[in-house]
Amino acid sequence: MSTKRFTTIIIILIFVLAAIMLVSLGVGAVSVPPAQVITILLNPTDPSLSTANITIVRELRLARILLAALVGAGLAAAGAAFQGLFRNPLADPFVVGASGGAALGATIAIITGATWAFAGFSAVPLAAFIGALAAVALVYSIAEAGGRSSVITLLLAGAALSTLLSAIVSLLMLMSDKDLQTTFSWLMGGFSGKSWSHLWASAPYIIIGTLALWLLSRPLDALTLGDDTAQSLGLPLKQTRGVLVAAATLVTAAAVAGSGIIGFVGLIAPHAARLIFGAAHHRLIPASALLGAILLVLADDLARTIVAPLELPVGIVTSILGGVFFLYLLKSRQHLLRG
Amino acid sequence: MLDLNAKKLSFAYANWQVLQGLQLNARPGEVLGLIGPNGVGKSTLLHTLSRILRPDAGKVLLADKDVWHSPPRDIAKQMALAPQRIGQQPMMTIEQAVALGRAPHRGWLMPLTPHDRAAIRRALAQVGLWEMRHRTVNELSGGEQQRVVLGRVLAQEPKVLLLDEPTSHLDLKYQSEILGIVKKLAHDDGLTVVISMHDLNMAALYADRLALLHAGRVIAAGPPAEVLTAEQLSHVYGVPVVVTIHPIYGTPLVMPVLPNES
Repeated sequence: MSTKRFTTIIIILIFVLAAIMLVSLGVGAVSVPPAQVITILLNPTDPSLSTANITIVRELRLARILLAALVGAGLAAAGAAFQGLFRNPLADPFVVGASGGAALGATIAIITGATWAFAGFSAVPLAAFIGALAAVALVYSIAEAGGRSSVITLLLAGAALSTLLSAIVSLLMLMSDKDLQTTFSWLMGGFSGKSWSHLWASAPYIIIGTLALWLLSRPLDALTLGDDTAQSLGLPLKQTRGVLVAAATLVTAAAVAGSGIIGFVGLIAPHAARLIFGAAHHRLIPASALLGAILLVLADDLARTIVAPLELPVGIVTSILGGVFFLYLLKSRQHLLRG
Repeated sequence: MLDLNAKKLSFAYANWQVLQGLQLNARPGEVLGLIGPNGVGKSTLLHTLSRILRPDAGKVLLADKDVWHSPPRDIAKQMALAPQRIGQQPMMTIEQAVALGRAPHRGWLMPLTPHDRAAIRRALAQVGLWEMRHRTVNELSGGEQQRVVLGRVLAQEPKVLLLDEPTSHLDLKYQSEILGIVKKLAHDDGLTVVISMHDLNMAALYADRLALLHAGRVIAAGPPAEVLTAEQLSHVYGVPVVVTIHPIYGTPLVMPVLPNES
């Protein structure tokens, strides 16, 4: 694919995302027509608008949809990076233990009824953020401890710790006399009730981490050719892996803090992007991020409307749709999913 | 033009001593063939030479400087390795994969310069992949993938070229073509080439000197006619062989002798 064609498709996707977000602003328990949405965004003092609609669009939905787009973009970029780093098509943003750590952190915060806050995060997301970082740091230090480490060790350590941590989470939930509903719906992930403060708390980490991953695209390309090749091209393996894991984990932890654990977006968006744009990461990372944003905004629309006026946790929507889509891809285009 | 020397090199995996005080000298303008049975340590030696595996003892000297005293990127500007196991290939175009060979020169963030582009174009042409440069690597045959790897190391424009069985998946035509390219790089451009090979007859044809590995050491080194003797080969490979002479080039020609059926 030529650079020109790639740029064209990316620009089209940006417009698609913008259009979807615009429509999404009008969708929900109260529906607002797209024309009115545009007026509310551009000219909120227009006397023909109802204050209720202005509040719904500007205060409630805009922040939530922007957060969904950002989290989708971040998870997809992190997924693309981990798939490249591990040369494994099954890798996702949680592959090195971030989800288990986040779940444990959040569960502890919910069960103990913690109320402290820091840097724009309240207790539960902050505990999830710290839990994710701590779990990945532990996995990474174990995997890189013995001399000549390999990505397989990292992968196995991540899987083992994730299982261990999720068992601890289940144990805590069983032993707790608190309402399990909060913990459970947090573990499913969702954007219900998210506001501007949530967006501002997560956004810097997701944006900086994703840009860092994009800057690391060439080292990622080299790593997908194998460790030997990457090293013979002069790439310091340990340091590069460390920086990559750190950047991807920062993005993942901030995404989880913003919305709970949302599965499948970080697995599917990179695969779809790779089918269209190929595996060279300077294209794959931005393309995955865009597709991830589109997917998660759409999934959130479904989560808000499918059982309205109630809401589903968006993690359920992504897991069901994502699972079906992924199985379909495996069945019909198995040969394309490799690499 | 750079000499590559291994001085008393030792390397062990866990409790398997692969290299044991190995000595090797590779010179500019010459193709040095590494031969020896499976598992004798040819790949390990090449990985040690290319600063991927750190030796337990001894040194690898590139132009008389210990490779472990320089940062990996400086070494990568001068020395390239084409690994044997290339494994699962990404959904990248041939051109993108070959362009990665420029990484040590351009850094990990810089765009391609005209010189980079010229090097990539030349490398693609040399391995006969220019026409198909937009195809993706993961859908190529084993032999084509091997040519992509060779294209990448050529794009790296090294002074020292380390090749780990670069022709193991190639048919006779491409074997000759690739080995011909390698020989030309050594003889015309003065590169130092170290190449591990299974096919002793190809080794005899294309290498200027051979090093025969056995029990962690080089037990014979020199022109093919001196190294490829029936006595030495039978000892190292553990099977009887007969060595005759190539009808056209006069190089040694090694053939197995069937065991006596009794």
